[in-house]
Amino acid sequence: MDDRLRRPAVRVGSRGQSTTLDYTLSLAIATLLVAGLVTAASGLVDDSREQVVRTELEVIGEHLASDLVAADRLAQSSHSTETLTMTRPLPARVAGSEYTIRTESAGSVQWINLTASGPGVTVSVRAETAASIADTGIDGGTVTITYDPAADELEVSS
Amino acid sequence: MADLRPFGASPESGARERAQLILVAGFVIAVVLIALALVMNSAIYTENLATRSDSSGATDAVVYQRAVESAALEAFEYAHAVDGGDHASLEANVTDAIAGLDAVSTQQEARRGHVPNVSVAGTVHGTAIIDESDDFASEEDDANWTVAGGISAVRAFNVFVDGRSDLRERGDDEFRIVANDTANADRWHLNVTKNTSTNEIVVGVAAGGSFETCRHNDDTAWVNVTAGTVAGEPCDALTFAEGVSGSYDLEYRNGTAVRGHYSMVVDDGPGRVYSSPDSGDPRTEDALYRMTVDLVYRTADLDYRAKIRIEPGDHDG
Repeated sequence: MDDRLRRPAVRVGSRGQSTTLDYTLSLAIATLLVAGLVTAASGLVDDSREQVVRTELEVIGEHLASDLVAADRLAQSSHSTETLTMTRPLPARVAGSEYTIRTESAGSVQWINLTASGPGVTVSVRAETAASIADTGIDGGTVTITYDPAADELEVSS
Repeated sequence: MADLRPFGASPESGARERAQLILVAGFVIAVVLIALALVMNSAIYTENLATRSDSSGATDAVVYQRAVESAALEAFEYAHAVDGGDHASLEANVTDAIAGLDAVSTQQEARRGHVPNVSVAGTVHGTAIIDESDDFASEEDDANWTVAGGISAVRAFNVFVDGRSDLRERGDDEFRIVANDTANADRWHLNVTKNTSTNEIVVGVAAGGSFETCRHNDDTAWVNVTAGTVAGEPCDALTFAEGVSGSYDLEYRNGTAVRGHYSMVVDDGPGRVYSSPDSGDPRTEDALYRMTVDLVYRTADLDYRAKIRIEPGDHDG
Protein backbone atom coordinates (compact mmCIF):
# COMPACT_ATOMS: atom_id res chain seq x y z
CA MET A 1 0.00 0.00 0.00
CA ASP A 2 2.74 2.27 0.86
CA ASP A 3 4.33 1.52 -2.50
CA ARG A 4 1.18 2.40 -4.52
CA LEU A 5 0.73 5.70 -2.71
CA ARG A 6 4.25 6.77 -3.43
CA ARG A 7 4.39 9.04 -6.43
CA PRO A 8 7.32 9.45 -8.68
CA ALA A 9 9.47 12.50 -7.91
CA VAL A 10 8.72 15.53 -10.23
CA ARG A 11 11.74 17.22 -11.73
CA VAL A 12 11.76 20.98 -11.18
CA GLY A 13 11.91 23.05 -14.43
CA SER A 14 9.97 20.77 -16.73
CA ARG A 15 6.44 21.26 -15.46
CA GLY A 16 3.63 21.63 -18.03
CA GLN A 17 5.64 23.55 -20.50
CA SER A 18 6.65 22.58 -23.98
CA THR A 19 10.28 22.86 -24.95
CA THR A 20 9.37 24.44 -28.32
CA LEU A 21 7.38 27.27 -26.74
CA ASP A 22 10.16 27.92 -24.27
CA TYR A 23 12.69 28.12 -27.08
CA THR A 24 10.54 30.35 -29.32
CA LEU A 25 9.73 32.80 -26.53
CA SER A 26 13.37 33.09 -25.47
CA LEU A 27 14.46 33.62 -29.06
CA ALA A 28 11.79 36.28 -29.72
CA ILE A 29 12.59 38.26 -26.57
CA ALA A 30 16.32 38.09 -27.20
CA THR A 31 15.87 39.14 -30.85
CA LEU A 32 13.71 42.06 -29.78
CA LEU A 33 16.23 43.22 -27.21
CA VAL A 34 19.21 42.87 -29.53
CA ALA A 35 17.40 44.60 -32.41
CA GLY A 36 16.47 47.48 -30.11
CA LEU A 37 20.03 47.79 -28.92
CA VAL A 38 21.47 47.77 -32.44
CA THR A 39 18.92 50.31 -33.72
CA ALA A 40 19.58 52.67 -30.83
CA ALA A 41 23.35 52.37 -31.22
CA SER A 42 23.31 52.97 -34.96
CA GLY A 43 20.93 55.91 -34.48
CA LEU A 44 23.39 57.38 -32.00
CA VAL A 45 26.21 56.99 -34.52
CA ASP A 46 24.17 58.62 -37.29
CA ASP A 47 23.22 61.55 -35.05
CA SER A 48 26.79 62.02 -33.88
CA ARG A 49 28.10 61.84 -37.41
CA GLU A 50 25.65 64.46 -38.65
CA GLN A 51 26.54 66.73 -35.76
CA VAL A 52 30.26 66.28 -36.37
CA VAL A 53 29.86 66.95 -40.10
CA ARG A 54 27.89 70.10 -39.34
CA THR A 55 30.47 71.36 -36.84
CA GLU A 56 33.37 70.56 -39.16
CA LEU A 57 31.70 72.32 -42.11
CA GLU A 58 31.12 75.34 -39.87
CA VAL A 59 34.79 75.37 -38.85
CA ILE A 60 35.95 75.01 -42.47
CA GLY A 61 33.52 77.72 -43.56
CA GLU A 62 34.74 80.09 -40.85
CA HIS A 63 38.36 79.42 -41.83
CA LEU A 64 37.61 80.11 -45.48
CA ALA A 65 35.66 83.25 -44.58
CA SER A 66 38.51 84.54 -42.41
CA ASP A 67 40.98 83.84 -45.24
CA LEU A 68 38.79 85.71 -47.69
CA VAL A 69 38.55 88.64 -45.30
CA ALA A 70 42.33 88.57 -44.70
CA ALA A 71 42.98 88.47 -48.46
CA ASP A 72 40.53 91.31 -48.95
CA ARG A 73 42.21 93.40 -46.23
CA LEU A 74 45.59 92.81 -47.84
CA ALA A 75 44.25 93.61 -51.32
CA GLN A 76 42.69 96.86 -50.14
CA SER A 77 45.63 97.99 -48.02
CA SER A 78 47.78 99.36 -50.83
CA HIS A 79 46.95 101.61 -53.76
CA SER A 80 47.53 98.93 -56.33
CA THR A 81 47.73 95.26 -55.54
CA GLU A 82 49.22 93.45 -58.51
CA THR A 83 49.19 89.82 -57.41
CA LEU A 84 47.59 88.14 -54.46
CA THR A 85 47.36 84.38 -54.24
CA MET A 86 46.70 82.56 -51.00
CA THR A 87 46.58 78.80 -50.53
CA ARG A 88 44.75 77.15 -47.66
CA PRO A 89 44.96 73.42 -46.99
CA LEU A 90 41.49 72.33 -45.89
CA PRO A 91 40.44 68.71 -45.22
CA ALA A 92 39.19 66.90 -48.33
CA ARG A 93 36.57 64.95 -46.36
CA VAL A 94 34.46 65.64 -43.33
CA ALA A 95 33.76 62.60 -41.12
CA GLY A 96 34.36 60.37 -44.10
CA SER A 97 32.12 62.12 -46.62
CA GLU A 98 33.05 64.50 -49.44
CA TYR A 99 31.77 68.05 -49.52
CA THR A 100 31.47 70.98 -51.90
CA ILE A 101 32.10 74.70 -51.41
CA ARG A 102 29.96 77.25 -53.23
CA THR A 103 30.41 81.01 -53.00
CA GLU A 104 27.33 83.06 -53.60
CA SER A 105 26.62 86.78 -53.62
CA ALA A 106 23.26 88.03 -52.45
CA GLY A 107 23.40 91.77 -53.00
CA SER A 108 26.25 93.18 -50.99
CA VAL A 109 26.46 90.10 -48.75
CA GLN A 110 28.62 87.15 -49.68
CA TRP A 111 27.85 83.64 -48.51
CA ILE A 112 29.95 80.51 -48.46
CA ASN A 113 27.76 77.40 -48.68
CA LEU A 114 29.30 74.08 -47.73
CA THR A 115 27.38 70.90 -48.49
CA ALA A 116 28.37 67.41 -47.37
CA SER A 117 26.89 64.73 -49.62
CA GLY A 118 26.85 61.88 -47.08
CA PRO A 119 24.43 63.02 -44.38
CA GLY A 120 23.06 65.83 -46.61
CA VAL A 121 24.13 68.72 -44.40
CA THR A 122 24.46 72.31 -45.70
CA VAL A 123 26.11 75.08 -43.73
CA SER A 124 26.19 78.76 -44.77
CA VAL A 125 28.83 81.17 -43.50
CA ARG A 126 28.78 84.88 -44.19
CA ALA A 127 31.87 86.76 -45.40
CA GLU A 128 31.96 90.55 -45.52
CA THR A 129 34.55 91.84 -47.94
CA ALA A 130 35.06 95.14 -49.72
CA ALA A 131 35.93 93.36 -52.96
CA SER A 132 33.26 91.15 -54.49
CA ILE A 133 33.62 87.37 -54.46
CA ALA A 134 33.14 85.48 -57.72
CA ASP A 135 30.36 82.85 -57.64
CA THR A 136 32.05 79.47 -57.93
CA GLY A 137 31.53 75.88 -56.86
CA ILE A 138 34.44 73.59 -56.01
CA ASP A 139 35.09 70.31 -54.22
CA GLY A 140 36.49 70.41 -50.71
CA GLY A 141 40.23 70.16 -50.15
CA THR A 142 43.05 72.62 -50.54
CA VAL A 143 41.68 75.91 -51.85
CA THR A 144 43.37 78.86 -53.52
CA ILE A 145 42.13 82.42 -53.13
CA THR A 146 43.12 84.74 -55.97
CA TYR A 147 42.56 88.47 -56.23
CA ASP A 148 41.82 90.03 -59.60
CA PRO A 149 42.85 93.70 -59.39
CA ALA A 150 41.14 94.67 -62.66
CA ALA A 151 37.72 93.50 -61.48
CA ASP A 152 38.40 94.07 -57.77
CA GLU A 153 37.22 90.52 -57.20
CA LEU A 154 38.29 87.55 -55.10
CA GLU A 155 37.95 84.07 -56.50
CA VAL A 156 38.05 80.74 -54.68
CA SER A 157 39.40 77.82 -56.71
CA SER A 158 40.64 74.35 -55.94
CA MET B 1 20.29 39.50 -14.70
CA ALA B 2 19.41 37.06 -17.44
CA ASP B 3 21.12 33.79 -17.66
CA LEU B 4 23.59 33.89 -20.51
CA ARG B 5 23.77 30.19 -21.12
CA PRO B 6 22.75 29.04 -24.64
CA PHE B 7 19.01 28.87 -25.32
CA GLY B 8 17.42 25.55 -24.58
CA ALA B 9 20.63 24.11 -23.19
CA SER B 10 20.72 22.54 -19.82
CA PRO B 11 23.68 23.21 -17.57
CA GLU B 12 24.67 19.65 -18.14
CA SER B 13 24.77 19.93 -21.95
CA GLY B 14 28.11 21.82 -21.93
CA ALA B 15 29.10 24.52 -24.47
CA ARG B 16 28.37 22.55 -27.60
CA GLU B 17 25.30 24.61 -28.56
CA ARG B 18 26.54 28.06 -29.49
CA ALA B 19 24.62 31.32 -29.02
CA GLN B 20 24.72 32.65 -32.62
CA LEU B 21 22.27 35.48 -31.99
CA ILE B 22 24.27 36.91 -29.12
CA LEU B 23 27.47 36.54 -31.10
CA VAL B 24 26.06 38.31 -34.17
CA ALA B 25 24.59 41.05 -32.02
CA GLY B 26 27.85 41.49 -30.19
CA PHE B 27 29.67 41.75 -33.48
CA VAL B 28 27.25 44.36 -34.83
CA ILE B 29 27.53 46.44 -31.67
CA ALA B 30 31.32 46.22 -31.86
CA VAL B 31 31.20 47.58 -35.42
CA VAL B 32 28.86 50.36 -34.28
CA LEU B 33 31.23 51.27 -31.47
CA ILE B 34 34.17 51.40 -33.88
CA ALA B 35 32.12 53.72 -36.14
CA LEU B 36 31.35 55.87 -33.10
CA ALA B 37 35.06 56.03 -32.25
CA LEU B 38 35.85 57.17 -35.80
CA VAL B 39 33.17 59.85 -35.63
CA MET B 40 34.54 61.04 -32.29
CA ASN B 41 37.98 61.14 -33.87
CA SER B 42 36.58 63.48 -36.55
CA ALA B 43 35.09 65.61 -33.80
CA ILE B 44 38.46 65.90 -32.08
CA TYR B 45 40.10 66.79 -35.41
CA THR B 46 37.47 69.48 -35.92
CA GLU B 47 38.24 70.98 -32.53
CA ASN B 48 41.91 70.91 -33.43
CA LEU B 49 41.19 72.59 -36.76
CA ALA B 50 39.12 75.26 -35.05
CA THR B 51 42.00 76.32 -32.85
CA ARG B 52 44.45 76.82 -35.72
CA SER B 53 45.14 80.45 -36.48
CA ASP B 54 46.14 82.14 -39.70
CA SER B 55 48.95 80.10 -41.19
CA SER B 56 49.21 81.73 -44.59
CA GLY B 57 50.98 84.86 -43.31
CA ALA B 58 48.33 87.28 -44.60
CA THR B 59 48.34 89.15 -41.30
CA ASP B 60 52.14 89.38 -41.35
CA ALA B 61 51.91 90.68 -44.91
CA VAL B 62 49.53 93.45 -43.84
CA VAL B 63 51.86 94.37 -40.97
CA TYR B 64 54.85 94.38 -43.34
CA GLN B 65 52.98 96.45 -45.91
CA ARG B 66 52.08 99.03 -43.24
CA ALA B 67 55.66 99.10 -41.92
CA VAL B 68 57.07 99.64 -45.42
CA GLU B 69 54.54 102.37 -46.14
CA SER B 70 55.41 104.18 -42.94
CA ALA B 71 59.18 103.77 -43.39
CA ALA B 72 59.07 104.82 -47.05
CA LEU B 73 57.08 107.93 -46.12
CA GLU B 74 59.66 108.84 -43.49
CA ALA B 75 62.52 108.22 -45.94
CA PHE B 76 60.76 110.40 -48.51
CA GLU B 77 60.23 113.26 -46.07
CA TYR B 78 63.72 112.90 -44.61
CA ALA B 79 65.26 113.13 -48.10
CA HIS B 80 63.44 116.40 -48.72
CA ALA B 81 64.31 117.75 -45.28
CA VAL B 82 68.04 117.09 -45.38
CA ASP B 83 69.00 116.77 -49.01
CA GLY B 84 67.84 119.95 -50.66
CA GLY B 85 69.59 118.96 -53.88
CA ASP B 86 68.33 118.30 -57.37
CA HIS B 87 66.03 115.50 -58.51
CA ALA B 88 68.86 112.99 -59.05
CA SER B 89 70.21 113.58 -55.58
CA LEU B 90 66.77 113.17 -54.00
CA GLU B 91 66.20 109.96 -55.95
CA ALA B 92 69.55 108.54 -54.83
CA ASN B 93 68.69 109.42 -51.25
CA VAL B 94 65.31 107.64 -51.20
CA THR B 95 66.63 104.66 -53.20
CA ASP B 96 69.44 104.13 -50.67
CA ALA B 97 67.01 104.40 -47.76
CA ILE B 98 64.64 101.83 -49.27
CA ALA B 99 67.55 99.47 -50.06
CA GLY B 100 68.57 99.69 -46.40
CA LEU B 101 65.00 98.94 -45.31
CA ASP B 102 64.94 95.94 -47.67
CA ALA B 103 68.17 94.50 -46.24
CA VAL B 104 66.99 94.80 -42.63
CA SER B 105 63.46 93.52 -43.20
CA THR B 106 64.61 90.56 -45.31
CA GLN B 107 66.77 89.39 -42.44
CA GLN B 108 63.99 89.84 -39.88
CA GLU B 109 61.29 88.12 -41.93
CA ALA B 110 63.55 85.24 -43.01
CA ARG B 111 63.49 83.98 -39.41
CA ARG B 112 59.81 83.20 -39.88
CA GLY B 113 60.33 81.67 -43.29
CA HIS B 114 58.83 84.65 -45.08
CA VAL B 115 60.51 86.30 -48.05
CA PRO B 116 59.89 90.03 -48.50
CA ASN B 117 61.35 92.41 -51.02
CA VAL B 118 60.97 96.15 -51.34
CA SER B 119 62.46 98.51 -53.92
CA VAL B 120 61.82 101.89 -55.52
CA ALA B 121 59.85 101.35 -58.73
CA GLY B 122 59.96 104.96 -59.85
CA THR B 123 59.58 108.61 -58.94
CA VAL B 124 57.69 111.54 -60.42
CA HIS B 125 59.60 114.79 -60.44
CA GLY B 126 58.02 117.82 -58.94
CA THR B 127 58.75 121.32 -57.75
CA ALA B 128 58.18 122.83 -54.35
CA ILE B 129 56.88 126.41 -54.40
CA ILE B 130 57.38 128.23 -51.12
CA ASP B 131 56.71 131.81 -50.10
CA GLU B 132 57.46 132.92 -46.57
CA SER B 133 57.51 136.63 -47.34
CA ASP B 134 54.11 137.42 -45.83
CA ASP B 135 52.37 138.21 -49.11
CA PHE B 136 50.58 136.36 -51.89
CA ALA B 137 51.69 138.64 -54.72
CA SER B 138 53.99 137.54 -57.52
CA GLU B 139 57.68 138.28 -57.81
CA GLU B 140 56.71 141.40 -59.77
CA ASP B 141 54.12 142.26 -57.09
CA ASP B 142 51.17 141.38 -59.31
CA ALA B 143 48.00 140.70 -57.33
CA ASN B 144 46.50 138.48 -60.07
CA TRP B 145 48.98 135.91 -61.34
CA THR B 146 49.57 132.28 -62.22
CA VAL B 147 51.59 130.42 -59.60
CA ALA B 148 52.07 127.36 -61.80
CA GLY B 149 50.67 126.67 -65.24
CA GLY B 150 49.97 123.36 -66.99
CA ILE B 151 50.07 121.18 -63.88
CA SER B 152 47.95 118.12 -63.13
CA ALA B 153 48.56 117.53 -59.44
CA VAL B 154 49.36 119.44 -56.27
CA ARG B 155 50.23 118.01 -52.89
CA ALA B 156 50.98 119.43 -49.46
CA PHE B 157 49.33 122.73 -50.32
CA ASN B 158 49.30 124.69 -47.06
CA VAL B 159 48.24 128.29 -46.69
CA PHE B 160 48.66 130.33 -43.52
CA VAL B 161 46.22 133.23 -43.39
CA ASP B 162 46.69 136.15 -41.05
CA GLY B 163 43.30 137.79 -40.63
CA ARG B 164 44.48 140.75 -38.58
CA SER B 165 44.97 142.98 -41.60
CA ASP B 166 44.13 143.19 -45.29
CA LEU B 167 41.64 140.30 -45.26
CA ARG B 168 38.51 141.58 -46.99
CA GLU B 169 34.81 141.03 -46.60
CA ARG B 170 33.25 138.69 -49.12
CA GLY B 171 32.75 140.21 -52.57
CA ASP B 172 35.15 143.02 -51.84
CA ASP B 173 38.15 142.00 -53.99
CA GLU B 174 38.45 138.84 -51.99
CA PHE B 175 41.55 136.62 -52.16
CA ARG B 176 41.04 133.54 -54.33
CA ILE B 177 42.96 130.41 -55.21
CA VAL B 178 41.80 129.21 -58.63
CA ALA B 179 42.37 125.92 -60.44
CA ASN B 180 41.59 126.88 -64.01
CA ASP B 181 41.37 124.31 -66.79
CA THR B 182 40.85 126.57 -69.79
CA ALA B 183 40.92 123.72 -72.34
CA ASN B 184 37.89 122.00 -70.80
CA ALA B 185 36.35 125.17 -69.32
CA ASP B 186 36.48 123.65 -65.82
CA ARG B 187 37.10 125.95 -62.92
CA TRP B 188 37.40 125.49 -59.18
CA HIS B 189 38.08 128.19 -56.68
CA LEU B 190 38.54 128.83 -53.01
CA ASN B 191 38.27 132.24 -51.39
CA VAL B 192 39.40 133.43 -48.00
CA THR B 193 37.44 136.31 -46.47
CA LYS B 194 36.70 137.77 -43.09
CA ASN B 195 33.36 138.26 -41.44
CA THR B 196 34.04 141.43 -39.45
CA SER B 197 30.87 141.20 -37.35
CA THR B 198 31.69 137.72 -36.00
CA ASN B 199 35.46 138.06 -36.43
CA GLU B 200 35.62 134.78 -38.29
CA ILE B 201 37.92 133.73 -41.08
CA VAL B 202 35.65 132.26 -43.77
CA VAL B 203 36.91 129.79 -46.35
CA GLY B 204 34.49 129.45 -49.26
CA VAL B 205 34.70 126.79 -51.95
CA ALA B 206 33.01 127.02 -55.33
CA ALA B 207 32.87 123.69 -57.11
CA GLY B 208 30.37 122.24 -59.55
CA GLY B 209 28.00 125.21 -59.34
CA SER B 210 27.66 125.19 -55.56
CA PHE B 211 29.29 127.41 -52.99
CA GLU B 212 29.91 126.25 -49.43
CA THR B 213 31.90 127.69 -46.56
CA CYS B 214 33.89 126.66 -43.52
CA ARG B 215 34.54 129.08 -40.68
CA HIS B 216 37.19 129.54 -38.08
CA ASN B 217 36.78 131.97 -35.21
CA ASP B 218 40.31 133.28 -34.78
CA ASP B 219 42.70 135.90 -36.14
CA THR B 220 44.84 133.39 -37.98
CA ALA B 221 44.22 130.05 -39.66
CA TRP B 222 46.14 127.30 -41.42
CA VAL B 223 44.22 126.15 -44.46
CA ASN B 224 45.45 122.79 -45.72
CA VAL B 225 44.01 123.01 -49.20
CA THR B 226 44.86 119.50 -50.38
CA ALA B 227 43.99 117.76 -47.10
CA GLY B 228 40.73 119.71 -46.83
CA THR B 229 41.17 121.17 -43.36
CA VAL B 230 40.77 124.66 -41.89
CA ALA B 231 42.76 125.25 -38.70
CA GLY B 232 43.10 121.50 -38.32
CA GLU B 233 39.35 120.89 -38.50
CA PRO B 234 38.00 118.91 -41.46
CA CYS B 235 36.15 121.08 -43.96
CA ASP B 236 33.70 118.93 -45.92
CA ALA B 237 33.31 121.47 -48.71
CA LEU B 238 37.03 121.65 -49.35
CA THR B 239 38.14 119.10 -51.94
CA PHE B 240 40.97 120.51 -53.98
CA ALA B 241 40.33 120.97 -57.73
CA GLU B 242 37.00 119.11 -57.50
CA GLY B 243 35.51 118.78 -60.97
CA VAL B 244 38.75 119.74 -62.73
CA SER B 245 40.02 116.67 -64.53
CA GLY B 246 42.62 117.85 -67.04
CA SER B 247 45.78 119.84 -66.50
CA TYR B 248 45.15 123.28 -65.12
CA ASP B 249 46.69 126.59 -64.12
CA LEU B 250 46.92 127.40 -60.44
CA GLU B 251 46.19 131.09 -60.05
CA TYR B 252 46.00 133.63 -57.24
CA ARG B 253 43.47 136.45 -57.49
CA ASN B 254 43.79 139.58 -55.35
CA GLY B 255 46.97 138.32 -53.77
CA THR B 256 47.42 141.64 -52.01
CA ALA B 257 44.15 141.17 -50.12
CA VAL B 258 45.66 138.72 -47.66
CA ARG B 259 48.71 138.35 -45.46
CA GLY B 260 50.41 135.07 -44.69
CA HIS B 261 52.54 132.46 -46.36
CA TYR B 262 52.15 129.27 -48.35
CA SER B 263 53.89 126.21 -49.66
CA MET B 264 53.02 123.41 -52.10
CA VAL B 265 54.56 120.76 -54.30
CA VAL B 266 53.36 120.54 -57.91
CA ASP B 267 54.14 117.79 -60.40
CA ASP B 268 56.42 118.47 -63.35
CA GLY B 269 54.04 117.84 -66.20
CA PRO B 270 54.91 118.69 -69.78
CA GLY B 271 54.37 122.36 -70.55
CA ARG B 272 54.41 123.53 -66.94
CA VAL B 273 55.24 127.15 -66.34
CA TYR B 274 56.27 128.85 -63.12
CA SER B 275 55.97 132.57 -62.66
CA SER B 276 58.98 132.57 -60.46
CA PRO B 277 61.33 129.73 -61.39
CA ASP B 278 64.13 130.85 -59.11
CA SER B 279 64.92 131.61 -55.51
CA GLY B 280 62.98 134.88 -55.52
CA ASP B 281 59.53 135.45 -54.10
CA PRO B 282 58.13 132.79 -54.19
CA ARG B 283 61.08 130.47 -54.41
CA THR B 284 61.08 127.11 -56.14
CA GLU B 285 63.05 124.02 -55.25
CA ASP B 286 63.43 120.63 -56.86
CA ALA B 287 61.31 118.01 -55.13
CA LEU B 288 59.89 114.59 -55.80
CA TYR B 289 56.18 114.69 -56.35
CA ARG B 290 55.66 110.98 -55.85
CA MET B 291 57.58 107.81 -55.20
CA THR B 292 56.28 104.36 -56.07
CA VAL B 293 57.58 101.42 -54.08
CA ASP B 294 57.37 97.81 -55.27
CA LEU B 295 56.56 95.36 -52.51
CA VAL B 296 56.74 91.58 -52.68
CA TYR B 297 55.85 89.29 -49.77
CA ARG B 298 56.00 85.53 -50.07
CA THR B 299 55.31 82.74 -47.65
CA ALA B 300 54.65 79.05 -48.22
CA ASP B 301 50.96 79.79 -48.80
CA LEU B 302 50.96 83.41 -49.93
CA ASP B 303 52.23 85.36 -52.91
CA TYR B 304 51.60 89.09 -52.64
CA ARG B 305 52.86 91.90 -54.86
CA ALA B 306 51.78 95.49 -54.63
CA LYS B 307 52.80 99.01 -55.44
CA ILE B 308 52.77 101.60 -52.70
CA ARG B 309 52.45 105.26 -53.66
CA ILE B 310 54.23 107.70 -51.39
CA GLU B 311 52.72 111.09 -51.98
CA PRO B 312 52.43 112.99 -48.68
CA GLY B 313 49.67 115.57 -48.59
CA ASP B 314 48.02 114.40 -51.80
CA HIS B 315 44.37 115.39 -52.02
CA ASP B 316 43.13 112.06 -53.34
CA GLY B 317 45.38 109.89 -51.20
